[in-house]
Amino acid sequence: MFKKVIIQGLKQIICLAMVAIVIGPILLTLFAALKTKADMVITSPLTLPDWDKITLDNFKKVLSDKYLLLGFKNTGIILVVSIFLNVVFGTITAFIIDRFQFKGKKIVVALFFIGMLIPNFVTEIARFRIIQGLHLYNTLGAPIVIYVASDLMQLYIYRQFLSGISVALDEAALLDGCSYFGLFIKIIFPLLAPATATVCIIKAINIINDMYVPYLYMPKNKLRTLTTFIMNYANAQQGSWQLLAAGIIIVMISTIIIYVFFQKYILAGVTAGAVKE
Amino acid sequence: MRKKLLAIILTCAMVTSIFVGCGNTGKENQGNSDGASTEESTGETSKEDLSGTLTFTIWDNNLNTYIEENDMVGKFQEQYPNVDIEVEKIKDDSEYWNAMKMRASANQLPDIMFNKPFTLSRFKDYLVDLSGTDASANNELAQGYAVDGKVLGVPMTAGYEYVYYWKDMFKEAGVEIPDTWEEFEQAAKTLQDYYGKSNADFMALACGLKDEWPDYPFMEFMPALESGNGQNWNTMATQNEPFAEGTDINKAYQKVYNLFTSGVLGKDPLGLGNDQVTALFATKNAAMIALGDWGLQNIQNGAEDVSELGTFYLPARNSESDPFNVIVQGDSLMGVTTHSKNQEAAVAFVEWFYSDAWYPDYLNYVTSASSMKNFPKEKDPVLAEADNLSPDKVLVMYDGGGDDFAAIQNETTFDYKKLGAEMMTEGFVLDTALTELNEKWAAAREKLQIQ
Amino acid sequence: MTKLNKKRQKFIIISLIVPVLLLIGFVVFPAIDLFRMSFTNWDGYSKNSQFIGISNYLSMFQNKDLWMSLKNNAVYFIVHLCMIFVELAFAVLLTGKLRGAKFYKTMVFMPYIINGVAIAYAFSYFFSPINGAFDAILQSLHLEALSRNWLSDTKIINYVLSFVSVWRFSGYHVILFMAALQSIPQEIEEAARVDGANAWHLFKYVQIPAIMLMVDFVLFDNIRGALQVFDIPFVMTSGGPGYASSTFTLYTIKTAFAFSNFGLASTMAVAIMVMIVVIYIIQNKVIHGLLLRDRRKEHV
Repeated sequence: MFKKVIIQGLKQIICLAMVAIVIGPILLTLFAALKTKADMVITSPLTLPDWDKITLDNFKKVLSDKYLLLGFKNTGIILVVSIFLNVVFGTITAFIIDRFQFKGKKIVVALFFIGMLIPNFVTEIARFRIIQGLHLYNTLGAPIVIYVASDLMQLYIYRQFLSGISVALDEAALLDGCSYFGLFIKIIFPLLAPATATVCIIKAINIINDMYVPYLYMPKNKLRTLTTFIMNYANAQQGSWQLLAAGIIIVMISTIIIYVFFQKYILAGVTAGAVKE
Repeated sequence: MRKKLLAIILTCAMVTSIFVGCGNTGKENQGNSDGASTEESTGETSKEDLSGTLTFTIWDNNLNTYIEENDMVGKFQEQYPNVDIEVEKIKDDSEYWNAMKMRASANQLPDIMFNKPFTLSRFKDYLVDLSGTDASANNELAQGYAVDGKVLGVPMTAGYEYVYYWKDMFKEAGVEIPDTWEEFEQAAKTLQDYYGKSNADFMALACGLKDEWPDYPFMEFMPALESGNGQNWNTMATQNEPFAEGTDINKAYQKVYNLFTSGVLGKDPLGLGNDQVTALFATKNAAMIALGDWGLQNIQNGAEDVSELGTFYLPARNSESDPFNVIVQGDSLMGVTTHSKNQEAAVAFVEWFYSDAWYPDYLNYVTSASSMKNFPKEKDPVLAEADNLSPDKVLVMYDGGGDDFAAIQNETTFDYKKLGAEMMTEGFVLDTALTELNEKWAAAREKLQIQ
Repeated sequence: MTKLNKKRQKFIIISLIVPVLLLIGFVVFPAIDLFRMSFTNWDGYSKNSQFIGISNYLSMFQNKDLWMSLKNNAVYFIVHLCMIFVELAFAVLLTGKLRGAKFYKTMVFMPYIINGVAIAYAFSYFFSPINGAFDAILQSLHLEALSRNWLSDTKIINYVLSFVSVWRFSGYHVILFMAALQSIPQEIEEAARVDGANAWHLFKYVQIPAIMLMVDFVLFDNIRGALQVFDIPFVMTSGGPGYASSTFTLYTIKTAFAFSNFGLASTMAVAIMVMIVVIYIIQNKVIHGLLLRDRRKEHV
């Protein structure tokens, strides 16, 4: 019993240490956002300035920028559409690769593996021509198709989960007269709900934070995303760390809200449909 | 669905504009396009005839703010009601060149883009000749950057480089404003000794070498200042051993090396970026900083009181009998690309941008100097001090280097900004580095067959 | 039977057609183009280029700075590889019975939520030599003696940058491992417990083999990530001082954009792909070999 308490205590200490390492730099970023440029140099980075010297100007400036709302809107649209498509294509592809034997399967698997190998910065030129050929340049469609087509980590997550789902389930459903699509939609997809939650969260974060694709494929000011918006404060000559810090905190808080909301409602909704548990 | 709708609207708009255009045969507006010898005037088109959407891609935060706060698009449309403008703001200039290269190869350059003197030769095949425009004719620097007689970009501002300093700190340490390189070195040392004693973080000369590029006033411009040859890079392209002893670049880099390694940059310049050192300078933790005119705003933002802020030009000369060379360069060269589907409208935009309707107000908003003869501008009092201190200055117009230089530079991967930061690393020997560069240079010239 | 087969085929084709087409269009085709470019001297913007055979490959192998950079990638690779064990342990810890697990789960993931470029900026201030937070922390712990030039000392710079990379990406791996651990049917774990397995046995013989697919992915992702590190050194040190913290990808991007040599940069990109595959195969052999040997022992 005593041993158990010690182990629990140790675990808590380890976790708290992790929290300190994680929180530290974030807290310092928050401090920076509350300081003026001059205070940033004069005061210790580990403390806030005196109460009367705390400035909210950085936050005000970021919050009053009209591109913030626009960024939320554009990022939101891209997120919803590309995550939805990612989940649909990801689940079905993983299902087929995992459960079916067919001609050319090896080629398909190899293709998906190659897809993960390619460093995308240099291939961007060829991709650019395709995007342009599809008339997607400078539209929200450009990042959406790119996010759906590349970065295939979801396949690994889904395959990992599929390996835990018994094949007997498939067979029983098929014997019951279920069609393949029926089997997939009614049985497999709900069972993959926990994986879907992880996929959604990771994809959402990758998409929110991506800077290169929006810059290259939709440079229009009207199509600013959250990240291209805050990156203006990171301009090499005219940037300001205090404003960037405020931008980081604002985007971070909204991402966390999405994350919490997601866990609480969407995830609950999806898992409610699952047969498991 | 949405796209279809858009297409219909666009077609309607186009049809109407054609229809309207037919109505007024272009006579009434002829006067306005007199100055332009491009298609614009020969076509006898009126302002209403021009239609379409122009993309205008920029990297400058201040320009973007100004464009939005002052409704540039609306003002432009007062004159050209059928032309719409999409502004595209890229993070900063280095990100800008990356994007533009990708877009150049994909036939997707914006209608109007900016160049720097050193990118002009890269994009020259994609830029339209603007030599017939009023904007070019009235610009002081445009002709100087012409490539094969074609004006490919009209400089938006005239860029000068300054050394910003705190007068009170100079006075307290008993330092005079330097007039020669030796005095400059000496001033830096005196300041470092004087203030370094009590403040271990002090920098006589602040330079954010972590970012590498902030050494450009020294590494990029000093060779040209050495003997007043603004074409220095192009001259180097014709030589096999441009880094040999006695050459401009060799002399300049020896000076820079001696300065940088004398401890006047503070305890760890390689660990600090430009944003940080500017803030440190603004709070008087540094006595001097070398930046362009654009730096003034950054300093003012970080400082509580700028009454003691002054400027002087970097004295690269060896003695007072030598000419006091000062760099001037055309900054942000606005050009029209060959990818533009509405070149006439794009040229009209350039003309409009440099006209009374827009340019003078914009110029007043920024700290930079005017590049237009017809719109002279009083310099900011802080920046004007440098002119008062050096009435005998000789302007050297800086050229970023032509094709041959760019080709050799790419082949040898000669990166002068990085070299400046490398000077501060352990085990760096300047002579060895320069000898190595000479070897690479000769090999590259032979391989590329450059005469 | 044939009817079922037809239905099957239809299902497979309909489901796969879109993802495969997307993949070919946006990934495979550009990759082929990359390979083609690696044999040309294209500069990235002119309209034409020449086929120059394998001379890009030759000049790549002769490039000292590039291979110096690869040594720096190795630092990231090894540091992250060591961290994978820690990450696994955390995942097991957080999916097990633990008070406040929910809070910790969110915390561990926090760094990954923030934009990578922004993190790099934040840490340049964190490790700043003047008024830097890290030095201030050391000072408050009376450890000033440990203070270094974190961003310019060539001996430690890559470790400093790897730390930033670990700070950013570890949470991502923990989340992946946690997701995978969730996929293990609970019956199996319970059965093992009934058999008297302790936590270590459970970890080694049940959990690890069951999430092998995910471990494989994370190991693969580590290679890919280590070879493609870019943001962190680019923002924090511009690859400097000199090339001391440059990485293979940083150098490749510089070759493509700063020195306008897309042909050579493509060659380097091809090299990255080859290296990823080769290291992956070797690593797989080693790790699976170790695991299988262990399990074989168990059967005997």
